[in-house]
Amino acid sequence: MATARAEQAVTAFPHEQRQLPVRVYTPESPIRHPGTLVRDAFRDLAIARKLAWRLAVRDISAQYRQTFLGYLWALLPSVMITLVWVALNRANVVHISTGTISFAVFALSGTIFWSLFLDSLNSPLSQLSGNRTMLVRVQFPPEALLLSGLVQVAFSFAIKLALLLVVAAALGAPLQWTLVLVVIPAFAFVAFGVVVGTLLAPLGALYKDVQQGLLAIVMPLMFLTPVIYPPPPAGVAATIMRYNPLTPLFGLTRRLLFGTGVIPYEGFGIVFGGTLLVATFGWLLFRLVMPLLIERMEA
Amino acid sequence: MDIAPAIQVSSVSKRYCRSLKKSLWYGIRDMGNELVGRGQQADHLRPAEFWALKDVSFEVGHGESVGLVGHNGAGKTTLLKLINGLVKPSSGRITVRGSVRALIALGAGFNPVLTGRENIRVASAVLGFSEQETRDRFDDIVDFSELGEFLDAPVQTYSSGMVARLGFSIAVHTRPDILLVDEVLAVGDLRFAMKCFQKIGSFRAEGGAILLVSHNPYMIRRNCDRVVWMETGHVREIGEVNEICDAYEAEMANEAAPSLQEHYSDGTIRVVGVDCPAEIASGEGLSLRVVLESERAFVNPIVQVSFTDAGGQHVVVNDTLNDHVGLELERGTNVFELDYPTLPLRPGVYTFNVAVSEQFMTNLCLMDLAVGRFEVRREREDHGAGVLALAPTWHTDATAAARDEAAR
Repeated sequence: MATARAEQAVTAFPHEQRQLPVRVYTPESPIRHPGTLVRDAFRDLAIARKLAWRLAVRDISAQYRQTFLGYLWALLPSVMITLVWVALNRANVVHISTGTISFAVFALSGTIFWSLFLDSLNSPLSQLSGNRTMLVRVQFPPEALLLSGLVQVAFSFAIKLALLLVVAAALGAPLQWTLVLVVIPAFAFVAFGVVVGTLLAPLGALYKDVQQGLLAIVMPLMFLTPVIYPPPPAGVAATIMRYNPLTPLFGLTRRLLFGTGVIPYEGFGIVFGGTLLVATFGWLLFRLVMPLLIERMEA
Repeated sequence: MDIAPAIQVSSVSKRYCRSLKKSLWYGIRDMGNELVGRGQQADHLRPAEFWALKDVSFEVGHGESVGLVGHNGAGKTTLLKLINGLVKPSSGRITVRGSVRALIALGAGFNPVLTGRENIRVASAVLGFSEQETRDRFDDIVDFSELGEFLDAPVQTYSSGMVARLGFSIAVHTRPDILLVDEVLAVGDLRFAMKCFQKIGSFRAEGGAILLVSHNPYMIRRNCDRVVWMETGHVREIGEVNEICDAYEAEMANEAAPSLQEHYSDGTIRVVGVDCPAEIASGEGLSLRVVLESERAFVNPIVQVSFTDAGGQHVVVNDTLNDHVGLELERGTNVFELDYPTLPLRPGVYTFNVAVSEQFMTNLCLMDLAVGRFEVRREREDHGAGVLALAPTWHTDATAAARDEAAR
């Protein structure tokens, strides 16, 4: 794991001559040997990939085996939120105009991609707490948990996306051939969520405040993001939405799906590029702090 | 050829925190230090901290089996965690040469809703096996675990013994260079425990290194060459298995003695004196004298004397009823003497207990546990296992042939 510096030494079993892996554990920070840190990280990543798949299969099968409605649960929350907003809009409690596409399709696409972001954001921390006992007892690359979380997020998103396309087609939304490219903003949503989630996870594994804080912040954040309604033309909300890093992601998504709005090249580029950059550091940081976290998690 | 040891622990210390609030805060600070490259090097304690390990050094060679004994909180499990690379040391250095497998968290990664079959695949993956390796080992794991038809039932329907059996089977069907074992052999029934012993024994025979943590001296004697005795985070002693186990057991008995002492009396009778040698050799005789002071005469009294070993087990029990001793207990002083012509107990510390009852044991008048103690000396080199130390005459084919020859 992160504390180890792997070397190769010629050491022998009594009756067979072979290379034994050597690991050295010291109080030193692995950051002092960046080369080794990165090499170990990539070595573990290969192991983590296979393990992540197993863990994801485990969690998905277990999760749905214990439910009556099964995979429907991936859909219900988004559908419920959409229905409430559609009802509010119909009753003229709110007045939301979404141009060429119906409000229901607009809102459903918004909530589905919003939940993709939320799932990604929560995934690292929930993986850490869900696998606590394993973490404090078994040596395995902790990246496996992050990757397993990604697989699970992708799985439930695939179900939701299928529903969205069916509903959109049924309601006569102007679906574009570009919709296959929607995987690009989808990937950006996941990356952005997981990176922020991973940076918060070590803190969150220690202090419950992080989880509470996330709960408190997501609802207001949703109203300051073009999830249910398009950005208003002016006002404080408009300014916040303009600088909200999620806004270009929603813009690109809807453009690719329905051909509405302009492609936010600049905004998307900045957010996506920045996310990938931070992701590399976030990953190494996560590796560095894991052993310290594990010793406090037992407490 | 000079072979570097499998595990090398050099002056390792580890500090832990007693207060949760402070622990969390230190956690944040430690993470910060790690990120700026300062690391965890520490030679002092912060408020509310203590040394879970202090200056611990020892080595385990390839093909060697080392036991780790000590009370709860001596730092044994912490040490295993450090060697397994789960937790960083606060100072010192640990070098591990070879692949490590820890029989610590049996069943870690199990999901209770999934079947045994599914969990085998998950737990194997967690332990670092590829799909192919898992498939290759699958039948062996299933056979060894003896789960039978439960293999396709959810793990939450298993008994705790079954979970442990499955966990052990998955972990042990591998050939690491180093095996870390933490008290797991205590699980399951005796027959399964024997199977586990065999498995560990064959691992040892193949040249693997073992570090075995146990409270059970018998387990250590049977499986280890050397022993590290830990006490409140320090190494108290390192040495050959019997030497350390004898000392450890003697100390355990001494510490246990006050807690074993228990006294009950209905007020009419009490022990006023016991007389017994402090030490005998194994197989030697033992004479015991008990003086009781009684306030009244007893109707059909029974006096019982028993010996208890360091583990709290009654190894010898005698009473006047079963030994057909006609007995009178009069008002005043009553003296009893017991002569054991030979007492073939295995070396160790024993306490003895005295009880008096009336009316064929329906009425307990006196029970005095651990009123005295004696030690049985080690006379010859042996592994020290079992309850009795007997020296039978062996007859082999050769001696039988010689006997037949002599008879002819």
